[in-house]
Amino acid sequence: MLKLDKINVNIAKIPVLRNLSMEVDEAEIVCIVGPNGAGKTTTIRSIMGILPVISGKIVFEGKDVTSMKAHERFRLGIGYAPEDRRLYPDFTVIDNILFPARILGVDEEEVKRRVFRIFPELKDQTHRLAMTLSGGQQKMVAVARALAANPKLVLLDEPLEGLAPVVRSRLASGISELKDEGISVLMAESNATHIKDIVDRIYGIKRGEIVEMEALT
Amino acid sequence: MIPQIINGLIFASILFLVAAGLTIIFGILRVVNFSHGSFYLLGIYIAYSITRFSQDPVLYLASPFIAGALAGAVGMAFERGLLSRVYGRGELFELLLTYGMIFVFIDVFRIGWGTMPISDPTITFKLGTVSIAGYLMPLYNLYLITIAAILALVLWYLLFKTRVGMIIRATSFDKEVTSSFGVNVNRVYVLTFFLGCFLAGFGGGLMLPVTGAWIGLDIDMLILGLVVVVVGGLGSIKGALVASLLIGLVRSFGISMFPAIELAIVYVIMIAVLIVKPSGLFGGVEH
Amino acid sequence: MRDFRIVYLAIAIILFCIPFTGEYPTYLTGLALLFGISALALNVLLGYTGLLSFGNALFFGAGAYTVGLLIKHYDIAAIEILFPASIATSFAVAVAVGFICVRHTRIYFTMLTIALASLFYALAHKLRPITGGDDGIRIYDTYLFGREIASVTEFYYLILVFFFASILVLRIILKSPFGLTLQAIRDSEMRARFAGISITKYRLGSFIVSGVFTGMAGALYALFLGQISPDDVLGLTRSGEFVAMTILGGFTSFTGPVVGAFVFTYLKAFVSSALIYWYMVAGIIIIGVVLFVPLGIMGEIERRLLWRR
Repeated sequence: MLKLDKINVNIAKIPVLRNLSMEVDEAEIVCIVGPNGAGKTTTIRSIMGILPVISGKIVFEGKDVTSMKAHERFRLGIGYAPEDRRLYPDFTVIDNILFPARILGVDEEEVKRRVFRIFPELKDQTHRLAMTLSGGQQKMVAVARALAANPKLVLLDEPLEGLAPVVRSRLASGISELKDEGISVLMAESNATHIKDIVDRIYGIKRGEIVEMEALT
Repeated sequence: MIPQIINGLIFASILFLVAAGLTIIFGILRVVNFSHGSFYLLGIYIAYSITRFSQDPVLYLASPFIAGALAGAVGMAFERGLLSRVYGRGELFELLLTYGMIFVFIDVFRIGWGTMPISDPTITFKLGTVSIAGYLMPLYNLYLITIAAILALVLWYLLFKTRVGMIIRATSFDKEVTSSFGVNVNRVYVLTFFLGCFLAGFGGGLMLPVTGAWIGLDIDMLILGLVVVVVGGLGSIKGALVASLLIGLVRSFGISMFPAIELAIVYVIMIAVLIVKPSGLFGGVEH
Repeated sequence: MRDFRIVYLAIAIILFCIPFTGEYPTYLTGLALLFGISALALNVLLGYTGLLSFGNALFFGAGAYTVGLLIKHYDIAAIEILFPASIATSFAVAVAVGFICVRHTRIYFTMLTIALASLFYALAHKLRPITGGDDGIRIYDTYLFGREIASVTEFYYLILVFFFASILVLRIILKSPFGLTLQAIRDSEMRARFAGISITKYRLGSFIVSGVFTGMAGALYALFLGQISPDDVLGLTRSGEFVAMTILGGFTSFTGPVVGAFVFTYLKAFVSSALIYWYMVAGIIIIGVVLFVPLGIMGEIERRLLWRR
């Protein structure tokens, strides 16, 4: 459903991604694993349309989206949870989660049902301000927000990074449930150990290029 | 006391309209619009031209709205046509572009409305006066304060209780993330510029009967607007409101008590606030 | 390097010969030299420290009003006293104002410089008994070591000496460890902080250098013109002109601001004599430079020279 074909991305004129190709299939959980600065976040941001690609093609559901803006790609069904959560600090939890749903105009009750089924612990937090939540709860809100507009593909940038083990496994099982709903997941992690059980495939990435997993260690 | 308070409130109303526009534009675009005073002045001139058509009081009372809308439209054209071309090149260039506009406006004003000051207090006479605690006040002055207060409420409602306001606030927190949730940020920019310039032009239109217009008022108003925004905290509407009231009232009492240094008092307040709280009264955004 | 030296020498000779072409060109070039130093001083902050001051007229005015007030109230007419006094006041003003401003960066810094310059503008404007208010102060009969300096040509050479001395000193300052540290802070505040550099102190230093040189230019401006007023030496437009000149000439180049000041000053004189709409032209120039030549005249020339090699 998602295909990157030899994309090249520069940041401040420095090449960060080089001829990078990868694929994500329907209802598949794929993880990009690599050290810091390898280009994981850049890959995700390029797919979302935040960073422009210099050359190469990004195809989503058979459509060439390479020249589309982020807000247009969102409308095709891509959800995004950025690195470091980046919630709206002055918005309540529920306003954060429902933000994309309200932009698209989808049924809010339906969204709430789905999100709280996956993250029941957010249910009694809905009216707190996002900035008052703990780090783990904020990550959940960020993932929940990425799901709000019924996406077909969600991009999760280091969703498990820096979480306590209990919270981490809760969030990981939440992510694996997405697959059962027919949602594809592309996530980035710097460490493959926590996600081994939930992912279908792993891409190793190093210095902006796809490498064999063995090459990472 | 009463006349000073009323005058202070008039001054505060106008400062708020100007500063709110400045601060909203800054919140979204991270640009301080140096031509904001020029949009204010444009509002007065437009209101002046509109009221040349007829002496009908309704037209006088409607003119600030038309002036605001036209100033807003000019602001949109400026944002789309010029300012948007330098986004991402750093705030120096964005600032300079809005600064360059001040001069373009000056000659537009000179060509369009001449070099002499204009004024038209007709509506003040038509509406007559009311007596408050023994003081005779032009009814128009009370109208001005009331309408500015209503506009402040409308603005608050718009920003905090509507979908558009939610989008504006989200964009001001984080453009990138907000665009990836389906918001066309460019449209938010245009809308914000319209809103900001509308407020300035509207404020200008309201002041036609009170002060009139002259070239130079643009820069005076810009500087006062900047002072209010600095005192209130950059990007904070609440701050703009509180600082407008503070500075409006202080200046009004200053004019009657220490006319020689009234304007200086305003700056001294600003310096004092900044020494105690560098980010302004309600400011958190200092990156 | 060699060909550049020849260019500089040629320019120096031309500047030296300007008074032979008549009084008006001399007057105009004198102004351009003073604005050139002011723009250069502004660029110590903008180009080298990364801080945009929209209030440098404050120093220009401090220098000018020091001269004006000493003459008006104390009948001091000796330039050898007036000039150092201007240095002292602009230094003092820069320390006091800098203390408030340098804790801020970016737009906050810019807005503070505007507001503080406006404070001094308001004082000069309103304290009529002291400053003469709107009408400003007239200055005549000034002496240098007992010799009356009256003609435009005499002032011009005085300014020329000041111009070359300032360029030399600023060049030395910017190439010194102090100047290099400023640029390091500009490029990466975080790295500089990790290196243990006291950023605020360096910024204050930069502010003072900028202020003192602008103040000296302002003092000579007062002597040269013989007339100062708040709008002319303290207004936002004056500050803005320094910025416009710097951008026009190129803030990435050492000589850029001086070139910008020359182009701006001559252009202003020619356009305003031919056309009443100088403001429109100025606005369009500023907007045009921002849109099409962001590096300015010298920045663009330097870029092309580098590219060719």
